[in-house]
Amino acid sequence: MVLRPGQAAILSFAVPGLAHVLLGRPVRGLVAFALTVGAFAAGYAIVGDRLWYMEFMPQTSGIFRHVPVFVLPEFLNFGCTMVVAALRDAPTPDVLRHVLLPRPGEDFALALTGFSGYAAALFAADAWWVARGQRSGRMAPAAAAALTWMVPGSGHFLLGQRSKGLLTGAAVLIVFGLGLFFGGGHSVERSSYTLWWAGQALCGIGALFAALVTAPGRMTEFPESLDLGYVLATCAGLMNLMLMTDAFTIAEESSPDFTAAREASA
Amino acid sequence: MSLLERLLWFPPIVFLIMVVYVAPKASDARGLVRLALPKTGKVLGWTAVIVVAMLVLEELFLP
Repeated sequence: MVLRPGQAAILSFAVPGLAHVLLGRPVRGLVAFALTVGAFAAGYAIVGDRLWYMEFMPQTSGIFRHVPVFVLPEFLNFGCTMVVAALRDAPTPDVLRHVLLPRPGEDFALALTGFSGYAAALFAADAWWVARGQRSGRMAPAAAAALTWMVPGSGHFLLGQRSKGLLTGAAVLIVFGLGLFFGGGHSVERSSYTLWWAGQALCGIGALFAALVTAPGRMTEFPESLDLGYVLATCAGLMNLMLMTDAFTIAEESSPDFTAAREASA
Repeated sequence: MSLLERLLWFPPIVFLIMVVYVAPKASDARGLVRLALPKTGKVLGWTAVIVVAMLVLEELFLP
């Protein structure tokens, strides 16, 4: 089936993997579906309606209760968030109180649902690339961006820019580590700093470490520089977003088709 | 943490941010450092100008 790149990306946002299947890449499509829907379902099975506490503008009525744009980054996993929004209970006082209750293991579970949003965006980018019909060079662009998301600098390293990958990856991880340090380990907690966390989660390994190790710990005293901590951790996430786009571009430009098209246009 | 300690952390963190900011313009670590150093100086200079301007405005308009 022929899909335009934009159509493939939109279709992939709605149902992860469907565009890949229609474009003749069933294995990649199944992997996309299993990872994004699987991560979301596993996380949602633990947190349930506590997910709605992560809306950075709480919605008790109106269109955004059913189109949950304020749950970031889950909303990028559009299909899954629309399904759970449709299953959302009416906002009675009991339901709203229940949403406030912390759940055991929620830090890791909310990391899974959040990561599913970024994974959906990366698979949509991959669907866009596949629909363009260009051959990959050293690596598929979305794979380079995904590797960089999980381990900063790794995409550049595997694309041959080793010293650059090591330096930029170290820069991101140092800033993220300083953020955790200044926040006494509590600057990357989704239930406390919902919107900040959407940026922090762009440094995948850092956010995963925080969700597993530092966030579940009890805060015994209020960290003096907590403000500096969550700002730095968010800066690190946004720095990594720049690295992800750079890795994507380098991988795209390593495609033999890209080089041929550029030579033809010149 | 005192304001002085925060100010001491500022230049190295700005340098690390600039290393990533200039990433698309170089393909190796040496090139990145070469590009990031003047950018860091520029950002620090402008930050100093903005802080001084705010202090002057505070002196002038907030008795």
